[in-house]
Amino acid sequence: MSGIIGNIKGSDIVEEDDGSVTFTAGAQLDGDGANGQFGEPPCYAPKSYAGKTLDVLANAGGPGNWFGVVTDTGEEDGHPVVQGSGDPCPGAFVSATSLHLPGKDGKPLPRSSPFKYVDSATVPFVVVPPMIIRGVAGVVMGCRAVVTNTKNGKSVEAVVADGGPSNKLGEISLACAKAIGVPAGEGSTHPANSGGVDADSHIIHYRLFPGVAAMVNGVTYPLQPS
Amino acid sequence: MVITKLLMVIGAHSWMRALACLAVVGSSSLAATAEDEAAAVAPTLACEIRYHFRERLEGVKADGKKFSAPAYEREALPQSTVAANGAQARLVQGRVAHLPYRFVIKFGGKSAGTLEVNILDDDGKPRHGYPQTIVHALAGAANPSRREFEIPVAPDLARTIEKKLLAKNQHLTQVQLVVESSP
Repeated sequence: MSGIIGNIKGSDIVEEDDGSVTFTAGAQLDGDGANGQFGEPPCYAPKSYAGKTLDVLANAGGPGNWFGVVTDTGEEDGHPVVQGSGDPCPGAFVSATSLHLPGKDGKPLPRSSPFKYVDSATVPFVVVPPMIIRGVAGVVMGCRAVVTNTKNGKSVEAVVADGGPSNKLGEISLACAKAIGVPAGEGSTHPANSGGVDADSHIIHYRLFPGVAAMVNGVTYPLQPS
Repeated sequence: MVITKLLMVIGAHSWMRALACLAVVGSSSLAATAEDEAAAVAPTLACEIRYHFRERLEGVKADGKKFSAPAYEREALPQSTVAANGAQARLVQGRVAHLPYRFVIKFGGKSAGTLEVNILDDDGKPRHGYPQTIVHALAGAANPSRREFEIPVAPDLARTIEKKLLAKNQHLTQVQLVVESSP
């Protein structure tokens, strides 16, 4: 029997009979995890960086408070890890997602690797609050998701790849936004800081399948217990 | 039937024909003037403040991502009005609950397509970097109906916003003014 897991700002989060989780919300944009893995711009870089970045640096924090980039110590007061000459975007910072990807050999990648994280620019992914991650039996991070724009009927297979704030519902990667016709800050200097659909609009329908590993564009993602 | 009879009566008298022509010309002229005025008024503006933040996530594993994806809270500025000075401009004036500033945003008027944004403190002094005037503002933007402006926020004010607006463990990263036009 279906039941309501919780409600965030007027949106019910429902666990359906088949174990899937559904909700309807807006779609803010998350550029995290974009490190140029597949040729697109990185999310964050120092001000001296010549290329384009997906988000304004302020959203990564600043010295002593690096909330949005990987640091050498793993703490916000460390120094941001800068991509080296062998990395996709030398000089850019490394931006993380909650979901970690293994290396080609299946072993865990180091925290500083740009390839450890899911690329917002090219992979359709969904961001979910802790209420969902902890509220269902199946593993949520890495699970299959289907995101539908009810205004135009466009739908995309996605992966749950990042954790959002506890009081926010409805956030997606730039690639996900593009796939379902949500403004993705096209042409903007910082696309992730622009675009999206208002949280109050309730036009984006999300269906998550906890415990079912996502397969997006031929890639199967790991299920990552919290 | 009635219309046919009326046209026959008008056609029989030259003074009636002239009067009918004047009525037609006059009504079309009035319609054109109203259309011109409507076209001259700049589009409606919707302005809001966005408070971007990240949340420190609890119960994360040692090697896990400690902060949430970025998100934002919103506060809307008052609706735009047509400026009262005769110029066909749209004007947004007002405050929001969590910033000690007054916003004055004007679009259109004598210089069509020009956007003027000013952010003033309680003493009436413009904030650093303001006023800003952008010619062909919305036509030249990546999103032709939207412009974004960064609002500098001092650490003390950031802490106040975190305390009064944001939830537990949420940290303000930037404050932004979004100006959006709609036809």
